[in-house]
Amino acid sequence: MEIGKNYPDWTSLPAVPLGDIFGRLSRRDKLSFTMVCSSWKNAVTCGLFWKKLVVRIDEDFVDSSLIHLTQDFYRYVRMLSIGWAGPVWQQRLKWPELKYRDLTKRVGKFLVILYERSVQVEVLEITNWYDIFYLRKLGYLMLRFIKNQNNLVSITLNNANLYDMNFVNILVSCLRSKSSLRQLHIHYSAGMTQKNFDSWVFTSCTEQFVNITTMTLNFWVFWHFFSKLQVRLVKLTQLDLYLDEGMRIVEKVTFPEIPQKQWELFPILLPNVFVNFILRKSLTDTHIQLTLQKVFPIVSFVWKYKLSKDCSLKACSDCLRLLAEYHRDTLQIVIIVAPDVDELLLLQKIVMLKRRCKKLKCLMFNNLRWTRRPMPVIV
Amino acid sequence: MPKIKLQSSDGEIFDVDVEIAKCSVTIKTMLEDLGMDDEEEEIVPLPNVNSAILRKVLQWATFHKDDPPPPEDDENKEKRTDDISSWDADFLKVDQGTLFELILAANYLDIKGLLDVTCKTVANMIKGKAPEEIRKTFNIKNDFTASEEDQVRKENECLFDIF
Repeated sequence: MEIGKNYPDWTSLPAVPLGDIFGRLSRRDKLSFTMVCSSWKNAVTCGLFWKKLVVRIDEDFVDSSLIHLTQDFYRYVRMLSIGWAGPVWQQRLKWPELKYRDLTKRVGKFLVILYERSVQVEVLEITNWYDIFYLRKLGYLMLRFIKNQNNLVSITLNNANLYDMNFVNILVSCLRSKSSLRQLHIHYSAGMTQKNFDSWVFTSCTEQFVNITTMTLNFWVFWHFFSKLQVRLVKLTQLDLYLDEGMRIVEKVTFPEIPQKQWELFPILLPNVFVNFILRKSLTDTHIQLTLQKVFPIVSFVWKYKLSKDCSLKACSDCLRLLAEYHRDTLQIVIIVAPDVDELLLLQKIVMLKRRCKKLKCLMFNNLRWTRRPMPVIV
Repeated sequence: MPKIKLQSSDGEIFDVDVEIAKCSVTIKTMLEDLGMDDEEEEIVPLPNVNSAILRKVLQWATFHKDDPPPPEDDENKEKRTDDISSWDADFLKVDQGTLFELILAANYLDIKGLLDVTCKTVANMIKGKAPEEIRKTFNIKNDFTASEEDQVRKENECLFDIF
């Protein structure tokens, strides 16, 4: 084919196919794409392509394309999700010392760009962030960026383990001025982070939560949080509480006594809240009683654990009894997977639970399954 | 099977099964809006598609007439480009002019499956290339002004930036 003769004018391609092509490229190829000509660059210079920036530290800094793209399109970023793709000890094996240092330098540069250009995001997700070695510096840059935010609506910290810096301490100081914040999701699977939440700092910041509508917390953290709660969180409607296998909290750390007077304040302090439990570990019957407090308006109760000797038939039996007794007016979903318990021995209790809970949409106990039509969506 | 007549920009008339023509959302909407579902044989003009391209489009649509509808785009899912079927790959062994016209036609006629596979083909032609190589591949002139000279620097940096 002779150059210039039979070539179509690729610069005149409409925005839809150009966007489609662009969406199929890797980040590095995307950078090349934006450098080809002005009409191609203009076609992708809009919020659609840059609104959500997902950064995997160990994959996206191998070359500098992310940094260049961020310099060009930072003003469109509204959502930032950043973290390592996997646990850091695996990464350490993958990254020789020198390259690792280079890598963190680049991440630092990226965070400085975000800060200096004053990028304002609404949604921030930090996943698998480990404060070891060079990452301490990055932790500082990250938090400086968070502090600079004025429109944050949602923060998710998923295993964002910056414990050496007293992450909660800094998180709290970040929250202080964020009246825009509506959602706070904190997921920790590493046991060592609990000391952060045990501090007075976290519990002292409850006033900062007045605008929050949705919150995810470790159940034990919430327990502490509630034990000191003084302000009314009227807007909070959805409270997701969880306990994970990794957390040894239930065995080792006791739940502090909460006076009856404080429990009585629950419907006043949290008047609009509905509670969803997700428990991923075996529990003793004492802990079942703590979990299924009468005051919690439980909508969804999911309890799955791997085979364990600790969990007795009695704990499951208590669980079903308490659910039926205290939570029948709110319960919609009950899912229990207890591999060491024969569900047929509890059949009577299960049937009773189903009969008592008028709003129930879905009930599962091991192999016994019942759903009200239409099928609810279970994630 | 009911048929309709499609008229290309250069006046050629194609007799097409309604079901096949309806893979184009544009034609489908046109038929519904105009109530052209009746027996009367009307001619649907397609002023943006010439006969050579329309013939190709119909060939593609006929082969894919029994395909399940393509899934909605999920922005979270990475879009693949390595899943072009061998029939499509053969079908798209065409010169750049034809590929370009097919994209325009798929875009105008709103045929998602055809747009997907043609865009995948172009994406594959871009992958792994430096900006200058892409310009060469598609015969595109670099029209960034001198003030954007750091563009050049960036390009070079990218080329040698493997650490």
